[in-house]
Amino acid sequence: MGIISKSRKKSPWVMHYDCTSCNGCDIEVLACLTPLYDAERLGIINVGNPKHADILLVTGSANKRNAHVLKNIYNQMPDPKVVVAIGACACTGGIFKECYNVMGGVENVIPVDVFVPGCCARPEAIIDGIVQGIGKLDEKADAMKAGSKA
Amino acid sequence: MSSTVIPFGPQHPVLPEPLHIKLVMEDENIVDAIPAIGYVHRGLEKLTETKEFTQNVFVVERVCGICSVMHAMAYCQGIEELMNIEISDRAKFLRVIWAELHRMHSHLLWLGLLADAFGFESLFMQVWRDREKVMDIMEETAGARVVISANTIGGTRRDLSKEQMVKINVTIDEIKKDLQQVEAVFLNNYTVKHRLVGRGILSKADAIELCAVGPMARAAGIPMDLRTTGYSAYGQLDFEPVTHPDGDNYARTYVRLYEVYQSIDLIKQAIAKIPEGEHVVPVKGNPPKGEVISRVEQPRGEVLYYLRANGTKNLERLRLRTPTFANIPSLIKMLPGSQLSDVPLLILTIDPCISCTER
Amino acid sequence: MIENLVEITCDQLLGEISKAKLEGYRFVTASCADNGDDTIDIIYHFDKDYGMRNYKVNVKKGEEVPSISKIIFSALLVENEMKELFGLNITGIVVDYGGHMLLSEEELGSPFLRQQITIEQRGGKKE
Repeated sequence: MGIISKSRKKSPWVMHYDCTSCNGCDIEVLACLTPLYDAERLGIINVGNPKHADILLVTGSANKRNAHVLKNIYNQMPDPKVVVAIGACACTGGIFKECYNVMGGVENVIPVDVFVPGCCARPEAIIDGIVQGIGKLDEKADAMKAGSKA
Repeated sequence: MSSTVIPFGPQHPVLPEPLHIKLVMEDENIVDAIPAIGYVHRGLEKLTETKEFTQNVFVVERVCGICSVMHAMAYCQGIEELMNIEISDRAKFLRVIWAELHRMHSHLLWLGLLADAFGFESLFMQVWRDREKVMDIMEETAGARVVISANTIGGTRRDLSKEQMVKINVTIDEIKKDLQQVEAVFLNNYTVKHRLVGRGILSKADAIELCAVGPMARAAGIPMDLRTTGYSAYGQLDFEPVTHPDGDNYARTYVRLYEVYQSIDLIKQAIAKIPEGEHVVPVKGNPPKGEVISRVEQPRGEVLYYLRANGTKNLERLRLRTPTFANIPSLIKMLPGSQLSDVPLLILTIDPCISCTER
Repeated sequence: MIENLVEITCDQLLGEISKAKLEGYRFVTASCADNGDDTIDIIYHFDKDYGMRNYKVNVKKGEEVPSISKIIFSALLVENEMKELFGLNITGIVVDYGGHMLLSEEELGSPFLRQQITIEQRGGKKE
């Protein structure tokens, strides 16, 4: 295992973007990083710059105005990358699905790899989602490697 | 001098939420600030017209996860006034207990974010560790951590047992002790004071002129707190609004910090005075034709609900004005004249809740 | 059911609002409701020492409503919102977002109106 793939597996850097979340999932994402749940013990670090991030955490559903912001952030992230949709709104649109300004889940805008259910999603579920995302990140890295050799 | 426009947000490490502000700069100084919102707009008010009035409790709770109890409380009080429902005294006290717990978790959250904004990581962690105790109480008493759905039309959805109340009493004592340890860091530490004192001043005259509400107004020396009108069970509890005369970042920190102590005190009083009885009364029929205004004090200030019913199970109009919506004009006036490095802190001290603002 | 509700006309609006401000009333917000026919109710809520005073203005759709944001600066957000969501023709807002504060640029309808009228460009020209 090379140093890059090892550090990607042992210390994935996450970035959080809030689409139209009600803050409930956002504060649970932050709660993951604080002493009780302490995701940093697993090497997970929250960064503010998409160019440094491996995993994008999205809360809330997409609307017409934030869709391009979300796409922009996604495109700035280097490959391999994984998107984790957190909460009912990010998965399907949730309670706001019928609102006039909501386009439904995040997957209508960018490809999503892991869905975390819940309203609000619990910190345990969010950490589990990130850990599953690390697995996907590995698969993608391997696929990239195989692709570049061929 | 030529000016530069710097976009702040919508994705910014300091704010968990997308707020976009165009800052017009001359050197490091801000000369103008134009907020651009709309990244969180969902159209929630329209959604409430298609749902039944009982279902709307769950919709309004999701206006904002951080103050969900107060949103539901304001909505339920409005519907109860419209339908002439007298809820039991026990339900009123239960609402106060959950609302004050929510205020505690909101203010502790804010204190943590403030510490994070001036780069004091360990203080952020310390405050959030205390906050988890409040979240544990919520989970134990209501079954969820953030959006707890404690209120319903006619009372509360759950009751508190004697053991639970004893446990709440013990836990909030612990929180008080922990908070007294970090209080000195927020209020007396040299470096922290350097970032807070004298920055982002909103004078009393400006606060009145710009119609600031909640801790923003109280930190400018206006003793405005809707809880003193005595809605729910607040009329039977003894408290004074926390105020500070300076109107700067330090004053706002002071007000919110002392409001956590105030909430602890209010919960203790409520637990001591809570009467026996039913926690919910049955509700029959639909709200009659009419209009009503319901106001409640949230962690961020006054929230106003305007409800218009037409006799059917659906409401004709639900309009809500949230505290951040009223505080954004103050922010626009506070930003010009300050330095670029102070912007994250300044935005944070109004305790912005963009999800509330845009609904 | 609403305390101190005063019904005024559109012409009286600015005068009454200035008077309320001089009397020390704090502007809380304005609410808007579609009556289902071709009129819209706008209610301006004021507060003084926890007592409320409300001014109700009944306007026809498309009728010109003067902006109160020159008297009360903090009314600018709510006026932009009403202009956008109800398609009200509010003129002279201090900071005019041109009907695109909350909704995206492509959106042209006024989602809160019961009968949709799609206009070529919402809110007239951008300032």
